[in-house]
Amino acid sequence: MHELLEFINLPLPYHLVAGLFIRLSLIIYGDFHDKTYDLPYTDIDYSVFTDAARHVLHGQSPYKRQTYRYSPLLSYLLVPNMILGKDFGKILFSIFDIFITIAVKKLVEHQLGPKSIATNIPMYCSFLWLYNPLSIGISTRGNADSVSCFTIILSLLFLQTDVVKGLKKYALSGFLLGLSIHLRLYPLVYSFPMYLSLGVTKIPRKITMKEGLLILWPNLKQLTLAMSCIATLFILTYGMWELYGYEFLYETYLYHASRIDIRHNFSVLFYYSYLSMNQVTFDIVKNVTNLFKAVILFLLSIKYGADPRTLPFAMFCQTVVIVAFNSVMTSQYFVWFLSLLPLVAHSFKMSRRKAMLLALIWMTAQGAWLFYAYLLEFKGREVFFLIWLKGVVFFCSNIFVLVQLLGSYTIGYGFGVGQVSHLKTQ
Amino acid sequence: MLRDTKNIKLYFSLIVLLSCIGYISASACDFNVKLKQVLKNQGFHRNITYGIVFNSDEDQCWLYKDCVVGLDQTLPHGVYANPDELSTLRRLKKLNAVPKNRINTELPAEHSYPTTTYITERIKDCKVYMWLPVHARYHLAMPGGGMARNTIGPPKLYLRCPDQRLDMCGKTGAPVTFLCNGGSKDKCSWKELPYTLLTDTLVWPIPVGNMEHYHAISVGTALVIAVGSLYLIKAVHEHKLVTMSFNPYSSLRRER
Repeated sequence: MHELLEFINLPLPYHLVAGLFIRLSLIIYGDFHDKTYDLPYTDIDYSVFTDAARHVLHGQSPYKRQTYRYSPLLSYLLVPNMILGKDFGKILFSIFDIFITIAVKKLVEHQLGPKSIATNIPMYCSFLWLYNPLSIGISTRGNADSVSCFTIILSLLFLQTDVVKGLKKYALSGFLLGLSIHLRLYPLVYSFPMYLSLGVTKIPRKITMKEGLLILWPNLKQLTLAMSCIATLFILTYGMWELYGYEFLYETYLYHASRIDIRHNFSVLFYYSYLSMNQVTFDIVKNVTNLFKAVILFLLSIKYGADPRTLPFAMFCQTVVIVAFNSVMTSQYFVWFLSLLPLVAHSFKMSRRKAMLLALIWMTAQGAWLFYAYLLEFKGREVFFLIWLKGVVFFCSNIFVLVQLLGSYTIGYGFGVGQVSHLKTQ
Repeated sequence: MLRDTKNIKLYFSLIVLLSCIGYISASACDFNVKLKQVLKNQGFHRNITYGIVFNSDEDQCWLYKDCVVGLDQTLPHGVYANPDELSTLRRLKKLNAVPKNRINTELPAEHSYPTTTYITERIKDCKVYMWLPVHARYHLAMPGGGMARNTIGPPKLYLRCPDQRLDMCGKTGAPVTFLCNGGSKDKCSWKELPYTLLTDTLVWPIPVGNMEHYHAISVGTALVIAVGSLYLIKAVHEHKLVTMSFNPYSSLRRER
């Protein structure tokens, strides 16, 4: 136990090396696993990215690869897969994980103020990403989500800290937000709370339309952020459209907006989507869902977005809502909010027991769904209704856990008392 | 008279020669091929395996030396071979299979069409073992649910040998031209062979959704989302933001 504590309290660079070592070991294991077993370790998306990069290398469109539904930038990033080796992309994604860890530490240090440097709290928060089995699995299996997670966190880092000073930091933050939206579309919802966080710090509950418009009226910081974000998004999107035409627009953006995937997934809407295929012209259930989602996202922006101290929490809650209400949900989507969790975890004022219980509820609900999905997919059993029920349970667990986190959210809590024992030993 | 005798000898020699050639070619083309087609594993992702045996007499195995078997497997609209998976398997030299048609892997069965895949493999000791990874598509839901049946017919079997030995076979049909293998775009001449199928036609049952659930699921889903949303909205609305001043030194003082 003492050795474990000593290891935990080692300076961050040691942990970065350990985190990278774990990832590199898993990448090597992945190669062995793929050669040995029928069920591969490597994610199917990695072969999609690699094939798309191969097309790019040969001067062709990345969209020649069926099911490539990402920005062409990602395929450019993985061109070295063909030149340096097939694991280049996985190593690159793992390096992005390391960058995220560093950025998280810096952000938490900023959130808790200079006194936090005397504690290890910022470092412990960064461990929630560095040693998170899901983030390790996602990157080493070749999923590219760590790239967009990194651009989002870096955007927040420039926005909230003084790593870069003056208006330049808002321009950089806007640029990275625009890049994130170009890469993944969902970070679009962050633009509103990020914008609000540079204006008045508290929006009153009862305001007139005129007062509301005045609050939204941009100051110089907001204008810089917004213009930089819009310009980046426009230039990237227009540039890619020039290169690859409508195929780029459709595969990267329009497909996701109109996506009807009837195959089983974690979403509460899965069985409904399957049964309603070819049944309805106006989908009232999905429209009502989208309406609720929009209202909640707006509320979260207004309530927590305006105050820079609560902005990361607003973004975290928004991401949970986007994932929970989406009509398609796979486990890679969990990384979207898990990358923001380290920025807010120190603010949850709850007992260790309650935290464990909430984690258990979330994981058990997921495990139950996975069991029935396994019966359907690999045993061919007709369990659609049971999968729907487990989807409902998982949706409820997502909402319940989020409400519990919301209730315990306390600015400046810092895991309770900071690192008292550590200070004592010092 | 002498001339007639010479002609008779010549005719006789010709008859003997032709009979010999006929005998040789007839025995060379007595293919006697047997094929076992099996569907392995369970669920939505399975493998079709093909065990092919050429003649039972081992003395005649030299006939197939360096010959290549090509299978032309048509899959029903509810089943597909993933072109990208096949491409990866070709690159890893695990399987030589290439789809004939463009395949959309995301469509449900009812919106898709039957597709064909070529698989090639070299004959070794009069035997060939081949396989093809296949995946089932979702079928549209039906009243009562249950299982939809995908029936996979037997493949067409072709043979290609490096020399002209197959040209001597009168029994084989006209040559067919298609890809030599999955690795290049070169085309080769193949001869279709008849064979004896030792297994039944493959039937792959796939679970389908129950349309009778439609109204209950619609109402249930909408209700769960509405209640969950209102619960969340209420929690956000009622949440009172608490602020603490983070100061580890103060708690340290308390400890002391």
